Amino acid sequence: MSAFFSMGGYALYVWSSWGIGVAVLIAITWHSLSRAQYARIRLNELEHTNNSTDKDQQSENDQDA
Amino acid sequence: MRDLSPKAKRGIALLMVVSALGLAVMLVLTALRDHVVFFYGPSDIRDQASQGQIVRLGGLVAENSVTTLADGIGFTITDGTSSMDVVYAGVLPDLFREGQGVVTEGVLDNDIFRANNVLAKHDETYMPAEVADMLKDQGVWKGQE
Amino acid sequence: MFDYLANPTRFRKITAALLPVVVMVSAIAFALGLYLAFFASPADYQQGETVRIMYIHVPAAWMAMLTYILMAVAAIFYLVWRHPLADIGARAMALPGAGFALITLLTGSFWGRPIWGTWWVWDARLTSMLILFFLYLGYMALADGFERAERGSKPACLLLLVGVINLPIIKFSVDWWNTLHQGSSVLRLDGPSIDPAMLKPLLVMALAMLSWFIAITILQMSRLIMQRRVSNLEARESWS
Repeated sequence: MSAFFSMGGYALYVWSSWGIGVAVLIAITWHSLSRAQYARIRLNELEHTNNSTDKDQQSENDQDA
Repeated sequence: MRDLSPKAKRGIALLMVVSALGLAVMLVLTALRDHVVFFYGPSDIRDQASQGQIVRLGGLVAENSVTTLADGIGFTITDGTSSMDVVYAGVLPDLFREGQGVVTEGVLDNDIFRANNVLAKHDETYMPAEVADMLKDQGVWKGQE
Repeated sequence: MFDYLANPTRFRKITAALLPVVVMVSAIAFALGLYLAFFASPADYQQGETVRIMYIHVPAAWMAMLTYILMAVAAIFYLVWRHPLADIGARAMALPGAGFALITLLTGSFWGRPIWGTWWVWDARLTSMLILFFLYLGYMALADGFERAERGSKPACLLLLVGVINLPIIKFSVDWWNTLHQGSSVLRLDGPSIDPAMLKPLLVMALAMLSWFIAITILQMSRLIMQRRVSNLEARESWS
């Protein structure tokens, strides 16, 4: 087991590389999820305060998106 | 041009801008061709570098050429046709060995290259040690020793 | 295709069906890739255990270049056809693209230190990869640099197209010039010069990163669509 972790003496380089790679992927995943969450909450708020004009908003939104 | 739709006009304008830029970059790269080279081989280095100027010399470490000297180690870099002796005092990378690719940085001193940095260069072949041994046994080995 | 996808309801429907699939594929491929990279693949005859860095370095480098190509295609769709969804697509891909380039540079450095004997050299391959990373950063700065997000779209897309010239330079730098970096092992004319036992973890990790990338792109695109709707609603609110 310790032979596995020592990576033939290259532990620092092998584990740092994988650590950095996985950390970057996780950070981007987390960032994307939290921004999406925030946008969803904000959109819900606005759509609920503006119920009366929902219909024409919908048609306008379809054009922009 | 007048009869084209705005879409086609944008497309053509874009194509022109991008191809002009591409052409410009290509010209610059062609002009820089010799300067983008990271190192010279032993065949070119005598023409390309003047004495005392810091340059990089690359090639294969010749078989049986590594020796211990009073002021470091000595070895010969070869590219098959030409070779040059190198003197170096310092830490060698793990992949440094006879028959392996190497890039050294240093100065030309008469016909000896005094390196102050040695980097290992490897080729693009990857295989387990057992496969390498098997290929050597079968005599179909094409790579470096 | 863009016209077909541009309908937001349809876009939502398609991506909602696709997202769980790519998330599953990514999770499975990552697990399998880790197993293959660390347990089911041999050490290299020259480089020993450091070859395991390749299984994250090389897929990340491929993805950094593929992402850029996709963004450049989106930029053409946006600049010529003025399709807002193409602009949103390019914006959505920029962050994962920059992430891939960053992973490539950092893992390459951790591989170069023990094997080459240096963290970094200014050879053509390493330098052009660094430029790719800066192109991603430049794109993001331009695209998000304006108060009204859409104003940044055109200059940012132009930058993307200009930067396309860097892609063949990255790919062929190792053939055109003497570099410290070795030539291609997988994408070469006479077939891969890499043992099948090492090619397998490489390809599985590439699949893991590709499916992760698709999932993130979907997530970011739907977020950007929601954000545009939010800013439209906010503008409407401040008017009334």
